[in-house]
Amino acid sequence: MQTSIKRLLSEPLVQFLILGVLLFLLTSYVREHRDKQSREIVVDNERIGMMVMSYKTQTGELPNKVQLDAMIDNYIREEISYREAKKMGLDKDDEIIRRRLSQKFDFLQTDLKEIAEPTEQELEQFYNSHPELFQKEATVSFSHIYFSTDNGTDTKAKQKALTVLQQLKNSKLQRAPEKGDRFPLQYDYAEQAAVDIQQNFGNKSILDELFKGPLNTWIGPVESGYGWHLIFISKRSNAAEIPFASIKEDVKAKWVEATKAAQNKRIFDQLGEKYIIKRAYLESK
Amino acid sequence: MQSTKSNLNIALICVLLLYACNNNPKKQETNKDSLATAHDSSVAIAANPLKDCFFGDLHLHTSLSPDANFMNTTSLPEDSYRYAMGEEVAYLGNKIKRNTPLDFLAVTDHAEYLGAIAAIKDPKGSFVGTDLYKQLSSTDQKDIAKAYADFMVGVINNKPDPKFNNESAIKSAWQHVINAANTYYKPGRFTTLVGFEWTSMPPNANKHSQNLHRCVIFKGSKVPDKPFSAFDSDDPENLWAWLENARKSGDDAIAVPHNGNVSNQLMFDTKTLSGKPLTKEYAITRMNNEPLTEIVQGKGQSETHPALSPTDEFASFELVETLLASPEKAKFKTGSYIRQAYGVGQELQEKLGVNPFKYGLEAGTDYHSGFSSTEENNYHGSHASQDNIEKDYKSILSATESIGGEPPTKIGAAGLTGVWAESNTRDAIFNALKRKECFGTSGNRIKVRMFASWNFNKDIIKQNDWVKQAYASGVPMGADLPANSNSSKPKFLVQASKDPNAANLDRIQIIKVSTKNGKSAEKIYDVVWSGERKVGSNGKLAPVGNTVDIKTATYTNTIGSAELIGYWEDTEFDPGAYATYYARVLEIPTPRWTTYQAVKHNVALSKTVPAIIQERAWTSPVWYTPTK
Repeated sequence: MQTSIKRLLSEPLVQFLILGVLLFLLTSYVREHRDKQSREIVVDNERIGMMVMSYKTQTGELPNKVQLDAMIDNYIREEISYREAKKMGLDKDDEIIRRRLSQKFDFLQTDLKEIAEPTEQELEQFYNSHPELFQKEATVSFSHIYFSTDNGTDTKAKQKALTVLQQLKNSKLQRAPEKGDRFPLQYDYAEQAAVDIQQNFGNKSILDELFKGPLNTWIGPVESGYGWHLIFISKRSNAAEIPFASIKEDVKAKWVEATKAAQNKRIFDQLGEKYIIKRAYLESK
Repeated sequence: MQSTKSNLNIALICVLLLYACNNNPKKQETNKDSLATAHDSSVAIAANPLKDCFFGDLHLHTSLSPDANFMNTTSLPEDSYRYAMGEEVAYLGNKIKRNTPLDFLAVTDHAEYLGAIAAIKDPKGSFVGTDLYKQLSSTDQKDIAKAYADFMVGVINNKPDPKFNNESAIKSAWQHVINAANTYYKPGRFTTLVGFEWTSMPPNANKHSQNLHRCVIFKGSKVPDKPFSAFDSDDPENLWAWLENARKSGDDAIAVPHNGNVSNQLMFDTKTLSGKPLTKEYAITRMNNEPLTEIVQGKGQSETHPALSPTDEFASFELVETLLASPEKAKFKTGSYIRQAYGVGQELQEKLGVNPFKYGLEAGTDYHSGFSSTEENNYHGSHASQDNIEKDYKSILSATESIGGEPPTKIGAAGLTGVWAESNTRDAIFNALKRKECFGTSGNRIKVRMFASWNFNKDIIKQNDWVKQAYASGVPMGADLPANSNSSKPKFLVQASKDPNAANLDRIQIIKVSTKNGKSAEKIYDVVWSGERKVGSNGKLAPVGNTVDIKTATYTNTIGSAELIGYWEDTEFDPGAYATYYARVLEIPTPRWTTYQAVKHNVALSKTVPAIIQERAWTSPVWYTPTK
């Protein structure tokens, strides 16, 4: 008897059958368990806590018993319909769900890695290869003499300016505010950008002249929003790079920004490599 | 194979999730660090102890404000900053650019439903396909009007509608506001201030909204994770409590009340919103939290009304008299205009020992376009689809009313805040606002200084270093005259220089509001003016004249002055009376924006507003308190 069982068991067919039964039992157990799990809806304390919090942020008060029961029933209803909808495959080919999942994924994979502290060398390299990020505006330094046109004295003021200009032609003066009228703002300006001139003198001919006129000589009269001026331009600097040493922090901020963007792109590109993109629209003719 | 792959994907996502969770707190920390260092660079900015004048707008809405979004405004704070800095931007399909850039800007979107409508209408957002999305994104104005009416129910009843009151959208929009301000802050060149508007409008019996709005302005970007909204409370006392808390854990902040003109007598009321009489503690708390009030903005000025100041021939300026979102006229006999409130504040000070209305002055636009277009000859409308001038100039200029009550022509191209600060940085500008060394203008860059002292010499203004001397021996606008033991009278120095891209100046006046034994009086003194005019027998200075040609919308600077500087002594001074003194600068007459637009499009002038205005500036006051 024993031997016959032994023999029987050594039959490959029988072994196969037993294995088959065991496998069947295992899979049906697993399926049943999974099925049970998928039919089980657990409302735990954590879930209740979330419901209460969300109610409080929307209404400013805590829910009472009736309201909470209604929220729980509502949650159960939503969970059932959600699972049934998923079973029916309603989540497939839905534009909103697709987009939402893609956004969630994008959010999770952005700025993943901590950016290491850049070295001085890295920053300097970045500064050198991105001159457009660290430009300084063109500026002008000058002194001026003001001729007031208050109360309709425009022609007189211009005439007076021309007379003073004649006197100054043969002098070495680089500054002579006392030869004109009192000016409400300053007489001497250093390193003014175009926007400063616009704000302090107006969009008049003085703006153009300060950035185009000859240096180290009295010129004018030029007009501002206040009246007439003679100007002596002592220095002008073209739009230029700001020296690295004076804007290190700014370089660092821009470096971090650029490094993050590059890293995010790299991660996405790596992900993209796993996919085979077929541009069918290019082939069809 | 298929399943292994998806399992792997799940595993990958789990790892990513864990990674992201672990990383998030660190990520935020690094952000904060880099911000802190960015701000530290302001240390290197040169400071002028005699102060420079900077101009900006402290009240502006973008598409993150739900009402602006309903009007089809599409700008974001980044666009507002770019426009303010002088860049060209697109507005309703047209290119716009300021004539003169600004020096600073605070974007102050409504805290209520901040960013919520923008989130719903986001074509890439999670609401796409929902009924709400369809309704709000409709191109049919009727759908929008219906959605807006639906939306306003919650606002007017001050009950948030959960469908709009989306906390995560609000927090993320607030973060957007903060990030944009940090990105565009260029210490020394351009200052951005983080802010929001608390939009309290408690309804009266007829459900008409009474404006108690305040703009909240922060000194830096260390701010609460969510703004305080009128849904949290529509009582300003609760806003002040919130501000006091915010200061404990973050940067300093102030609240700036605006549009007392349409508050229905509530803004400067002699009782609290909950109906209690004002106390000393209330007055102290109010002044700690609100050093300034907005003197002018798009929806009119809140200085005074011709009915309250019948002898002030310049009082009838940019009046808006209808309650917001209502056809009902605002009551204004008390509690609405600041000149009157200066007196009432002193009357309360006699009783309480503290003046609850000791307000400095600033100004803003309150535009809902995202763009501070305050220049009269460069105004493009301010409420998107509601006043698209380039397209609807005909109907806009001929309209005499609108759904809201007032036609869009009534909205002014106004205003700006001028501050006297050591440098153009957040710290310097915020500190100037806090000490009230600032003023409001009706939209131009008029620079005005005022100093007071017991012992100024009248010739000081002839000297080149008069500002230095004035600071050394007097106090600037926004300050108190120190106690005085001898019998001298207060002396004032005032100086104004014109906006070099605008008109000449007519005059500088000092307006005095004095109070004794519960009775207040106002008086206007002309201090310095252009030309050879004389004060007539009626005590009035002759008008400056008028060069405006309405047919061509032009004027000339053949009248008026580029600069006015003057000395004034209060010879009628009574040491026993409380006094508030502020200066008002007037420009010569110029065309209003409605006139420029009528000429440009060759249509009739609007009948709802004057064709010509006198732009102006109002300084923060100097105060005198009798010693007891």
